[in-house]
Amino acid sequence: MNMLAAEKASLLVKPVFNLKPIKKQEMVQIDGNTAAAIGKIAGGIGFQSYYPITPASDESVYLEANQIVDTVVDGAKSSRPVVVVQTEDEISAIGMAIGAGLAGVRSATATSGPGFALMAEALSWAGQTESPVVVTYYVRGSPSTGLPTRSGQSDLKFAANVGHGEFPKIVLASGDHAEVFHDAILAFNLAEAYQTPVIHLIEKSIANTYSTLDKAELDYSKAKIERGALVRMDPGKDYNRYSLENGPVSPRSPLGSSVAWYSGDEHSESGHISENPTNRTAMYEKRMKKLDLAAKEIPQDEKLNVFGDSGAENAVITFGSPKGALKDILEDLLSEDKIKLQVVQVRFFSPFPAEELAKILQNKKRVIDVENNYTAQLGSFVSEHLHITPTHFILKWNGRQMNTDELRDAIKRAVGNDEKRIVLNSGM
Amino acid sequence: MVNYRTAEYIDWCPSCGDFGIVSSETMALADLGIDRSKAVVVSGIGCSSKIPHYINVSGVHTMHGRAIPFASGIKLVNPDLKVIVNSGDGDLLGIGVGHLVSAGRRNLDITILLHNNGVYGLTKGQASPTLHRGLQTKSLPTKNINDSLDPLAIALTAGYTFVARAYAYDAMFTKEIIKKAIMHKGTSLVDILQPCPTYNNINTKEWYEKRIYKLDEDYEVKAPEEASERMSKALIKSFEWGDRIPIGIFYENNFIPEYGQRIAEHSPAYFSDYPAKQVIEQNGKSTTDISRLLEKLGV
Ligand SMILES: Cc1ncc(C[n+]2csc(CCOP(=O)(O)OP(=O)(O)O)c2C)c(N)n1
Ligand code: SF4
Ligand SMILES: [Mg+2]
Repeated sequence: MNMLAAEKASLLVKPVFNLKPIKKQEMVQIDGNTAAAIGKIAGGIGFQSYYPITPASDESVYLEANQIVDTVVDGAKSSRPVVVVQTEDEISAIGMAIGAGLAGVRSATATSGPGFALMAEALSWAGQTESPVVVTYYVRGSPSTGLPTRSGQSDLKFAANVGHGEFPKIVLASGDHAEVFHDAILAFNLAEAYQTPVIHLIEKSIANTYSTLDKAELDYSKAKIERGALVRMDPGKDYNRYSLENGPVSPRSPLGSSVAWYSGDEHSESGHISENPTNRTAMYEKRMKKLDLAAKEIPQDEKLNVFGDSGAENAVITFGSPKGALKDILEDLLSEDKIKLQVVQVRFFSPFPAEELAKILQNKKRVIDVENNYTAQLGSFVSEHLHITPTHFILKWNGRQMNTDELRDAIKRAVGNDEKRIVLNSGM
Repeated sequence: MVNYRTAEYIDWCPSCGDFGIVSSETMALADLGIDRSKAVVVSGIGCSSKIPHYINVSGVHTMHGRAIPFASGIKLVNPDLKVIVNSGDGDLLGIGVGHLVSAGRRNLDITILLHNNGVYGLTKGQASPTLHRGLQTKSLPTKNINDSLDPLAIALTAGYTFVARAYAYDAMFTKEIIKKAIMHKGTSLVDILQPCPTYNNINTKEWYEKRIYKLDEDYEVKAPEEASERMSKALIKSFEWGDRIPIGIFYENNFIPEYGQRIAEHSPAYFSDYPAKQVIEQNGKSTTDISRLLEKLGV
């Protein structure tokens, strides 16, 4: 109705500015939940399970609504069904997703803090059995129910440390909507390449906000779909799922294509229970070495997003949503406040890009840590891995995203007044 | 001849009822001629849950109480597989009871074999949810003051479409029941009475063999209208526990659509092109085309 009226009205007036009409369909308006869902679809998802929770379920509901996806196989247009299941709880959601992964399918679940807490034991199982699975972790204001419809970054350490025992896990956090899309594809690649769980962090403030993006930003024609050591063994033949012959990543044949055993107990190369100490040492090391491999193989520009002035004596470290505000204030800080900044948005927390980060931070006069939590969790990653401690902290935990004015002001106070810990509190 | 037993060393106690179950199950697989690579045994944690290591088809030994979700994920993406869950009574009716009940709502085509020994065997004999109130098995410091759950009554009311009970030491009978459960299209539950000679000194072989008797063959729902009456009868039968304990098939209903069929209602290609079959990548590139989805988001 309104559109119709507007169109009619526009025909009645003479154009004033000779504006060219914006070509339709070149831009998309997308929220973080949808960006993740479409990224998963592009990345070849076959199975998603979920238990409803804010702000994660919109992603799964989108997948449910679009579960028959278009394909082009051997040049022919077709479609394929994705299975989406609403489960009885998050333990079931993660269990089903891991099961689907064992059968060779790219599988995922999406949840938020309370649900993720229930998934801890299963993630440990997936790590121990070297099973790929993707958990899209929408981070809201915690602890407990916290601020369920607000945002925050206080679950970073929980995500990175989830599950009992030592096992490789890959943890990454997106900084904006375009990153969410590409990271959803990347997460599947990493899960299969390293045969281990991948936790993809997206803040509520990205999940439920919209960006208008050029379609080119969601172009995945160059993105690779890498399935790692997924093979289809000769069904007549049994194979050793955990063969120690080919380095830390051993060939994985889906259930249904050949016989194999999986157990959360320590196991031998065949997958059967083994308490043999020599085997234990070797199997443990095999698993852990995958993380070293990931650290070596994941490109630096995936691990860190670096912008601003590389010669600046001030560095800002951050992750996730403050990226946007930081990008927006760089120019004003330089031209009006005469503050030069180099910004490092950390995208990976496991493996943590310690060496790459150290190279950037080692000669900085100030390292200003910008985060949406109380304890500066990214800062403690940095101190733990780099023996460099951030000099200043700009923190906010009131559930609202950082805005440009308060962030610019805080950086001025950190640099100009040497204020060490600045707490932000804007927002309604 | 395919050997359905592995060479793994079995570490159950001597004369544990689980030996009867592994024999029945492997014989059932052999009788049905099931392709080893097309069957998966999924278990939780417990003495009973070690069984996948002893059966020569694919095995997934998961977490305490969680076999049903794992099994469901496997079956959902590859409906061509025969998926069997083996777990203990503590596993399926204690920590995992939410999954056991919820599975009834889906009626996915999986088979659940419940090793019912009245105790938590692996953790040295605490009471399981099936142990009756007032009983004090060997490891219990006092009498059990909890009432017991009845796996059959739960399965019937939760929506299971095949509900049966077997007895571990009657391997031939158990084998036949397992075969029918596997062939049933929908979720089936077999409650297998399983003596635990180490910790359950009450529900022993001798105790059971004085009491059990076999049900007749009249259990199947023959028309949809008959379902509730059949179920009521089965439910009443399931309460019979004391001097006489019935074993056999209590209920079968083939009129409830299986979960895969429900998926196929909105995804007609599901059975021919289920996720495990799909080609999602060619020459390193995604075969999925999202342009239609992006068009909808165009501004
Ligand atoms: C989350 C969790 N809690 C507790 C345990 C310890 N646990 C191992 S087996 C078991 C109970 C086993 O009893 P049941 O399921 O009846 O199997 P059975 O040994 O009798 O065959 C428990 C509580 C566990 N493995 N995981
Ligand atoms: S403790 Fe009981 S259930 Fe476990 S192996 Fe021994 S006899 Fe069997
Ligand atoms: Mg038991």
